[in-house]
Amino acid sequence: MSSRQQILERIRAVRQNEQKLPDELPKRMLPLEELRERFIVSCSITGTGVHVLSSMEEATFLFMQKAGSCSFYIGPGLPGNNSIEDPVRTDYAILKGEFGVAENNAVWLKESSMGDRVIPFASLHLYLLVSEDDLVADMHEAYHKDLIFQEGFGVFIAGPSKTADIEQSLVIGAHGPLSLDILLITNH
Amino acid sequence: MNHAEKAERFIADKQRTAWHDETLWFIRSKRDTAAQKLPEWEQLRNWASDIKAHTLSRLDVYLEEFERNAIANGIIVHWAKDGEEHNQIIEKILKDNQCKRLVKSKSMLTEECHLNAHLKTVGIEVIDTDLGERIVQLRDEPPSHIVLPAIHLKKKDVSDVFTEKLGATPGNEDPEYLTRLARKSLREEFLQSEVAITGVNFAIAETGGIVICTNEGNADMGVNNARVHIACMGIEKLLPKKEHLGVFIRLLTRSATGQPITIYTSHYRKPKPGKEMHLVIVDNGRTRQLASDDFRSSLKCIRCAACFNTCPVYRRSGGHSYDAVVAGPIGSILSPNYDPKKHADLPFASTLCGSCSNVCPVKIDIHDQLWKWRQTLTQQGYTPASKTLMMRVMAFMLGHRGAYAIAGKIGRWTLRQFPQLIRNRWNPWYRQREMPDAPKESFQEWFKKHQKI
Repeated sequence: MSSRQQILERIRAVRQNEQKLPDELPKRMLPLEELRERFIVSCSITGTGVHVLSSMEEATFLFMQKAGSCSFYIGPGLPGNNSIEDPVRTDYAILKGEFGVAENNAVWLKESSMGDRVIPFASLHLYLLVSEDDLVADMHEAYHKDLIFQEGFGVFIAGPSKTADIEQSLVIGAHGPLSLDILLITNH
Repeated sequence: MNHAEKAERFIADKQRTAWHDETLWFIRSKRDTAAQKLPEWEQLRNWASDIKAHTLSRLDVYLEEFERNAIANGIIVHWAKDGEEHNQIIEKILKDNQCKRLVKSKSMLTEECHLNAHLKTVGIEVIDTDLGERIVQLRDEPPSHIVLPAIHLKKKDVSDVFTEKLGATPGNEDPEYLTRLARKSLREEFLQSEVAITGVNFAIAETGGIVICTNEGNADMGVNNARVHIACMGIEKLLPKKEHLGVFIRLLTRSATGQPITIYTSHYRKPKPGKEMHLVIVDNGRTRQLASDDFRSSLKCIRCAACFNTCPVYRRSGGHSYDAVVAGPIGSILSPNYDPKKHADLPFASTLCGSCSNVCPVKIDIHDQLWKWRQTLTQQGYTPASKTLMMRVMAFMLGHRGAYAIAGKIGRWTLRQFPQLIRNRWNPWYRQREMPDAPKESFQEWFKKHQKI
C-alpha cells in the first residue's frame, strides 16, 4: 500500500462526526473616506510611504524622478511599460496593484502585473500603484475577491521587507526591497 | 539532561535571563494591543477553532480535494508517512536535479524531520535563509523559538559568529550592519540556487494552492529565483476554502508579533511555465495525534508561538532547555507524541497557569493537555521512579485524614526544632525560597478550638 493510501486509511479509521463549519464569514463594507484614512494610517505603521496622486501618469512621473539614473522597471498595464533587462538587478520597480486592504496596508499584486515573479522581491525599491476605488476594509473582504488564487502566483505586500532577528532591533530591508511606496490614485 | 537541568544552565546568566524574559513579555504585550484593537477578536478565535475542527473531522476528504486541484495546477504531489520518507523524497528530487547546495526558508516540519542533517550525510548543503535561522545555523545550534529562532542570542553573539563565518568587522555589533552583511551573502545564495525549499503556512483544498508568510521576503527570493520549488507541509495545514484565510491571516501575526499581517503573504498555485513545483505532504505521527480524543486538537496549531511568549516557564528557561524541535507549551504537548521517553519531562515544565490556552488563536486547551500528558506518561511508566513514589506517598497522605494530621504535626515540629533539616541546599524546594515559620497549630486545630466558643 502506498504512503498516500496508508495516510488516508489511518485518517478514515479515526474519522469523527463532522464538526460544523461557521456560517458565512463577514464581508464588511466601509465608506471610501474611512477606507482611505485607515489605509494611510496602516501605511505609517509599517514604514510604507504613501503618495496621493490624481492619475497613473502622475504616478509614473514621480517614479521616474525617484529612479533618476538608476535601473528601473515599469510593470505591465502602466504607461511607459518597459522590458526587463536583469530582473534581479533592478534598482527601482513600479507595479500595478489590484486592491489595497485598509486594516493592514496590504496590496494584492497579481502575477501578470509583475513582469517577472522575482521583481517585487529583488528590486531595491518598490512602488505599488493602487486606485482608492479599490480599497477594501479587511482580509475577509479581500478574500472574497475572485482575484485571489486566480493566477499561478499572487502576493499581498504590506511594507518594505524587514527583520528583527538580531536582538529584536527592527531593520528595514531584509531580503526584499529596502523601501516600499504606495501611490494611491484618487478620483476626486 | 532534563528540562530543569538545562534551564538551570540558562538562568546562570541572570542578566540574559532577565532580558529574555522581558523581551518575550514585550512581544506578548504587542499581541495584546493588536488583539484589543479588533472588537471581533474572540469571534475570530472561535471561527478559527471551528474551521480547524471541521477540517480535521474531514481531513481525508480535503486532502484528496487538495491533491486533485494541486495536480491539475501542475504541481507534483508526494506523500510521506514519516520523516525518513520525507527526507528520501527530497533527496531524490535533489539528485534528479544534480543539486548540491540549496536555499531553504523557515519550515518547522523540515526541522522536525531533521532534513538538513540527513542531506549533509549525502553531501548536499542546505542554506537557511531566514536571518534568525541563518544565525543559529552558522553557530551550529537549533532554533530556540519557532518565530524568533535566535531570541536566545545577543547582538554580540551574532557579531562574533558573523566575524568568524562571514568576514564581518570584529566588534561591529550594529544590527543594521549585520543584517546588510547577511543580505549580501544570502543574495548570492539565492541567485545560485537551482532548488528552493519552503514550508507551508496554509494549504487551500478548493484551489490546490499554498500560502507562505514571511517578513524578510526570503521564501519568495528563493522560490522565484530557483528552477525547482519544494514545499513541505504536515497534513494538518489544510483549510477548505480561500475565504477561511481571512480569519487565519488576521489572527496569525497579531498573535505572533502584534503585526496586522506579515510583509509578504504569498499565494503559490502553479509553477512558473518551464519550472517545477513539488509538494511533500507528511504524516509523521499526526494521524496518531488525530486518533486521540485528548490530544487531537493540538493539530489545530498554526505555529504563531503566542504560547511561548506568554509562558512564565519558557520566558525564564529559554527554548533550548526543552530539547525539542518545537519548544514552549505547544511543543510540550506535541513532542511526547513523537518520543514519549525523550520528552516525558516537558509536560511537567509548566505551572499549569493556563495563559497559553488564553492567548491561543485557535483555542487549543494547551494547559489541559499538559495535565493529561502528565497522567498518560506516568501511567505508561515514563516518569522517574522518585516522582512516582512521591506521588503515591502524597496520594496516600491526602487520602487519609489521620496520616495527613500526623504528617502535618511532624512537619511543623521538624521546622521548629531542626530547621536545618529543611533549610539546607540539598532540599530543592529551599534553593530559591525562604521556608515559612512553622505555625503553632494547623488550621484544623484552630478551627476546632474556635468552633467551641
